[in-house]
Amino acid sequence: MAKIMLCDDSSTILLFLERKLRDGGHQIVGKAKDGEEGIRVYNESRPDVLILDVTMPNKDGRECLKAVIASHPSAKVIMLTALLDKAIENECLGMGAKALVSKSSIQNENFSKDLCALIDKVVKVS
Amino acid sequence: MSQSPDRSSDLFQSQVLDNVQKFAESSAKLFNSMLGSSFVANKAEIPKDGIAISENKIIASIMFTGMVYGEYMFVLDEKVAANLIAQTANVEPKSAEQLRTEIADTFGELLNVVVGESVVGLGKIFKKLTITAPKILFGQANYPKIRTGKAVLTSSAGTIDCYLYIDRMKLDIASSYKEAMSSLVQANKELKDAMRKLHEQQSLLIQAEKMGALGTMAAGVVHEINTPLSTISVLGGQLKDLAGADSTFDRDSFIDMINKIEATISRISKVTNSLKTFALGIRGEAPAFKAISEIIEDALVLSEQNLEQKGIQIKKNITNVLIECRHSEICQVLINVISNACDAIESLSSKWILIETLDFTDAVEIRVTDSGTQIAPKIHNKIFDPFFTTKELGKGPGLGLSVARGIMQAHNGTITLDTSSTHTCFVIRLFKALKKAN
Repeated sequence: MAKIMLCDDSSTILLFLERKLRDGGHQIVGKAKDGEEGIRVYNESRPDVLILDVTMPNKDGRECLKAVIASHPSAKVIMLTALLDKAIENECLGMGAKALVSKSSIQNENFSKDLCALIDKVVKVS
Repeated sequence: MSQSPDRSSDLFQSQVLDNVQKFAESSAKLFNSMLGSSFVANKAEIPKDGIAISENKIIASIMFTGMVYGEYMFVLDEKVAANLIAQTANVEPKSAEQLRTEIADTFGELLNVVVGESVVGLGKIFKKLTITAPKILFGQANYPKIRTGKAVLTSSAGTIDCYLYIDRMKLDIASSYKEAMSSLVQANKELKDAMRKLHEQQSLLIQAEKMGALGTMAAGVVHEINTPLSTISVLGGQLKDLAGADSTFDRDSFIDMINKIEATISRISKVTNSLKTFALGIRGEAPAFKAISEIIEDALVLSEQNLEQKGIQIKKNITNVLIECRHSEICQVLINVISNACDAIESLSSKWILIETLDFTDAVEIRVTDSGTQIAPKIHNKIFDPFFTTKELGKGPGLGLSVARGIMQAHNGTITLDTSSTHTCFVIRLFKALKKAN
């Protein structure tokens, strides 16, 4: 079981992920709806894994990622994006994200299982 | 090989149908996964009436631009949307406003996710596509009747219409820029051609004006030559009579008549020489140094009939300065100005034209003043325009001053109206040597 923080401007996605991850045995320790709130909640909740949307109002996911990694270099962040773009993926991985997940994979039957496996993998990597 | 319009249209239609089908199938999977529903995507079609929207509908839309422009849309009943959210969230929203916020968030995000995937497929056909953020509309929206791909998702919770509209109008900036540049180059070429033709027409007009002036002068020249020819004829008859007289041969009268004939011939010669000088310009004339007095005299000789007919007195105050010019052209400038003056003052009681020259170090001014009052200030800026005339219809096309200005510009000189004068006064200014003007 890992302590997960979710950051996405869509309540629907937050609700969906919260359910799926709880069902998978994980604990949701914090939720935020933009990058600015995400930095604050991360500092308060200190999760094992942050699942962070790329496109958000105020500070977007990339700005939030930059700030979190700057203050917590060992932070484990999985980026979430609606538009899987190679340039965005390279940018995020270059900034210290551990993985990038396409939101369109939500429609896959094994989405929950795959996401939980990814979380386990990320947590295990020191 | 290019496709025929029908085949191209068929291909485009099948691309729209194929992509809307994929969009609907992805949407059904996503709805089922996220909202726990059981939607099935039906076969895609292109409905005749375009997008069906009524007041109780919500529209979630994402636009895309690139090589093509278009829109992905979900259209569904607000009630269906509310039910789907209620069964997912498992909580009743507190107010209608809160419900609409939930609907906007859910369907905006669902569309965002499914378009994020669908546009990748569409981008393989139409390059460089970028998408906008989702937009949610509640109620009737004014969509035109456009040919749109449609696939309906059905479930026990209700139906959701998935639309895909693609406009082949090119919005690709790079291609549009290239096309715009190419059409600008073409427009520039056409403008240059038009300018060249305009210059040709202008040259023809100037030539026509010159020929017109020549025609007017021809009548005067006929008079100028016929009158002295009559004189010669009369004198010749008298000489014959004198020579035929037996005893009373008057030697003094004989010499007097011969002198008169010589003077008359000289007068004819003056007219024909002036005309020859003027005609030279029509065939093209190289610049040469000429006495300014000679140019003015030629212009006056060629205007003499006009001046005499209207009873206009000529006053002169001319210094003898040499100027480098095309004689015939400066002569024409003077003839045009004198002709205008004649027309302007012919009905006045005091009719005179004063021609003066002012000698400056490098330049010379010819001032042509007539007895008329100053030209009305409101037309000062129009008098040099082509076809502007204050004369009655049929008394010239209004090219005289425009042609004069063109000639002066070609000499790097100027022709201006002296607005400080109480009379109408045109000032023709020329450099003494053309090289100093350049």
